[in-house]
Amino acid sequence: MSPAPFAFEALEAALPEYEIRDVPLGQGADKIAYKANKDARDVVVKVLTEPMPEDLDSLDTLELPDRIGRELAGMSNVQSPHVVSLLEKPSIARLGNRSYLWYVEPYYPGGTLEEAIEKSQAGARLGQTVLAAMLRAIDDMWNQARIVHRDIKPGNIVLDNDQNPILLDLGIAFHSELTELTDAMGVSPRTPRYAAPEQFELRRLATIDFRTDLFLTGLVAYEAYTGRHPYFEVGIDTATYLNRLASGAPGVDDLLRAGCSERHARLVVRLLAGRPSGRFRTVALARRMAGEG
Amino acid sequence: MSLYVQHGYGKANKISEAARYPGTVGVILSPGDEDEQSLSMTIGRALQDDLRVLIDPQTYVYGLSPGGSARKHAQNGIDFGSIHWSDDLRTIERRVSAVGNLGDRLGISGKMIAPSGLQYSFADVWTPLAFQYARTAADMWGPDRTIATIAIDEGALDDWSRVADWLDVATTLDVAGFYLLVARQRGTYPAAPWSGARLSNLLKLIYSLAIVNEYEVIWGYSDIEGLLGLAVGAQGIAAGWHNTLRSFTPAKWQPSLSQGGRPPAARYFLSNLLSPLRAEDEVSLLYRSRLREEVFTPVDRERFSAREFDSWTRPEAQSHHLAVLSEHAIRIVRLGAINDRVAYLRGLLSNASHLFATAKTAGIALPGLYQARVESFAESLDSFVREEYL
Repeated sequence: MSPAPFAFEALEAALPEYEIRDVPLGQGADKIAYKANKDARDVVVKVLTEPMPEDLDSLDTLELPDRIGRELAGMSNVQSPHVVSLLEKPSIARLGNRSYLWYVEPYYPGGTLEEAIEKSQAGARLGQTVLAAMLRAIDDMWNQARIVHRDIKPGNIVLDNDQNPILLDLGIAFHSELTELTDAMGVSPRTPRYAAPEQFELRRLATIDFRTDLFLTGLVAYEAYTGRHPYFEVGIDTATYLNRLASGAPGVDDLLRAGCSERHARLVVRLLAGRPSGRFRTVALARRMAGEG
Repeated sequence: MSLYVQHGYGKANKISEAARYPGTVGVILSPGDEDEQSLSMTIGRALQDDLRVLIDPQTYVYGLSPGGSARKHAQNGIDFGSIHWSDDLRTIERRVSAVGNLGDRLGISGKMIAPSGLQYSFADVWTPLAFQYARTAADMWGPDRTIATIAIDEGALDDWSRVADWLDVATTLDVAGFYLLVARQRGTYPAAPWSGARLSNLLKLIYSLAIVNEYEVIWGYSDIEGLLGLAVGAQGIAAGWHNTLRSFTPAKWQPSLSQGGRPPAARYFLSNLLSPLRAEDEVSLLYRSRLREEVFTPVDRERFSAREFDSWTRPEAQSHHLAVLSEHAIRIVRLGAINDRVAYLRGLLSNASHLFATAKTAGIALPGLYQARVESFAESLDSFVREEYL
């Protein structure tokens, strides 16, 4: 972890209403996250590592890096019990001789889904909870703000005090009103092990919609039920992996052995259909099959 | 109930007769054949018979090359002259509005079929236009009232990857359902056997729309092939009195040098063969053979116990055809689960194929078309089952 571009004492002084821990929770390419407490509630204070322009008049005119802009827009526009929200909107703080953008998110003490799976907590209970929560999250993101998360993976799902799954990191979310983010090859951004088949294809913007998130929910739900990824295994080469993805969903056997009900097993397998048209044409239909909504 | 009468023109009392068949659910009317007054009378009769009424706006007529026409469209306010894949949104809105206005004048308060052009592939320049017609109609009439038209040439079904790409987009349409039309080459009746993977891909398309994505799918002009559509999830199939209403052939709307000809021979729909054979010679030949008990149902045998096949009239044949189709349709639909429907139909096809083979062995000379059709149906169903992992 590279050192913060500002002194911790400056951050403490700039945000006196927060009791901030000096050891960061984590640091990404764009921001540093600190656990903090305000009014007896644990929160996460996030500070961008890139200083703001000195001639900035107003936050309204600020041009944020794409990923940060999308993440903040997503958190502002979606109200969902299973999608991370902003507790405090972005503001500018003077830290030393430069200005930095900061904002506040809730703190989730239950760890990530990835950690829960590593601790062998996978099973019917975790699987069903994750399945229902992610379907609700997708429903809310798509129907409130036409957002496709595109990066639903165990490391981006945290558990709150009551073990409710919360989806984090809308940094590569696709907003249907915004320009598409692509990499140098024109491919949709993704985490390879947690990507839908269409995210590996070029110029597939037309079919990147909530159904891409349905596929990703199928992946994480399968893993939450069984403790293993439905397609990936150590040592597998890329071509074989992509072939598995495209050749269709795994069967229900492993899910049933993990204690998944037959109805939910069929749902998870359908979410993993290789083509968007093989999933569900509305989130409501998927939630209905899940017994939710 | 799942059979629609694909109506052209003629007396509405024929529709009333079809309404008595147990599988008949509605009628699809042709504004190209009837003016507003006739349509209105036909609708009134159909509603009295508790039939659902749909109107095919037949806009695909105007995208044909050479251009097509329909003689009553102008009187119905839906003669669009020609449509082009580059038509702008305002033009599309005007046409959808004209179709909607016709529906309003005729008192159609339920679902309406949206206009569309004919697509020769699922990736040609007409595809975006077809989507735009559906979206515009859903916007104007409401998603719950809109049935999008998919009018395609059968060649569009050759490449499944193209169909699958199209499905990924089509399933984003917020509409109630799809009115599916598959253009086949103009030819004899019954239509030629399906080639290659076309029918199998069509069944996969229907399954994806109707079962996976829960749209209402009505396969127009589908006739006997429609039974396969019902087996894989379509909610409606359609066939009419005449051969031209049992196969979607856009050529009938195009200029033709044909001077007409002899009226077609009366056919008899042999339920056990799933085929309409010529009554006077082909059916008669089978009836006089040792295969009578296997080929003819007790009802068939009773019917011809005291009359000759040359006394079988065309009006009788027309009515009987829809009655048998309706019976098959309702039996399939009542089975419920797709696996059961497919297994049932596969059994019927297997039996029909066996009977044709036995007839051949027995020296009964029937045109190979019938057996080839039944076998192409069976192959397509088998392929569908394999590819959908049913």
